[in-house]
Amino acid sequence: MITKFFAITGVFLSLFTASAHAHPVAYAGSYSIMTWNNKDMSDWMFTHSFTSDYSLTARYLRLDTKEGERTFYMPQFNYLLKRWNELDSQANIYLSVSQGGEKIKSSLKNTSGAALETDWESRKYYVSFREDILFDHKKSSKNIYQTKARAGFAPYLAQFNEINSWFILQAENNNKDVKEFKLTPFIRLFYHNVLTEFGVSSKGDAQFNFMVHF
Amino acid sequence: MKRTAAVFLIMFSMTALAGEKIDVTVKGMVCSFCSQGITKKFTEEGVKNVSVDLEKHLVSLELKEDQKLSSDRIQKILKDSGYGVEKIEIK
Repeated sequence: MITKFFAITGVFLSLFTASAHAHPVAYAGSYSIMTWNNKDMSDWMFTHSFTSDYSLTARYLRLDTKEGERTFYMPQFNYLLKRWNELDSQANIYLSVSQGGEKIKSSLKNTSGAALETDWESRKYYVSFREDILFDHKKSSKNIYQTKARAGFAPYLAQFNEINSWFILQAENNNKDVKEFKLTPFIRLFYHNVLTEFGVSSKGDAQFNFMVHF
Repeated sequence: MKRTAAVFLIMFSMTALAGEKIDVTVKGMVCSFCSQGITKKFTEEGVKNVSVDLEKHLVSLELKEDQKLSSDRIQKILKDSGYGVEKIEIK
């Protein structure tokens, strides 16, 4: 089953241009702050995981699009559809749905969102895929489709209490982004409950990501 | 392998464990960032010492002198942390 899942993920990676977020659901009772930032985008999520299966997120997203800056405020529900726990690996499929608003001048315009995310990781390798859609209720031409895929490896196997390092390549496509397609190599460092990523995209933009669980 | 795990779980499912050292072989524990919940949850449970060995897929618990922790409870804590249990051994 895992082999089949890995094969499907691999097909996704080869077909799409995309990136992945951290797990949208963490351990039961936990809180998470996650943020992804570059010149064209700022994405902030504050999440509470009620169980290891579902969580609620308050999300702020700002995008510089071809039509100008767009800002969203989105309460989001995240659900773990399926998890495969093996001795040497873990794979997950998550579904997220959101219902919120896009800020237009001083009012909020009704906006819905959905995302499907899947990942597979071992201590040495990591792949993930995420498809995000933000629906504009009046003009479908304003819908935002964002696809992200990632593949990474750890240059050494760190123990639980050591600094972990990863090299990750992210491919991203956003139909509304000024730069629709971007490739970004990242260095990921994490220690205990704090994770950071630094990268510079193929378009020359720096990106900084940060996550903490508590 | 699954049968062995099941036998272990049944053996200890009704057992209250006190003042013991316990090794739990955990499935899916591949990332130290994601598995922080394990140490947090067991510490909240009052376990004296929790150590994680990613290489051996092992969570080692040292209970307080008068502490009791059933294997059902151990499994529940690990499930809440997002992981599965392969084997529970009292040392």
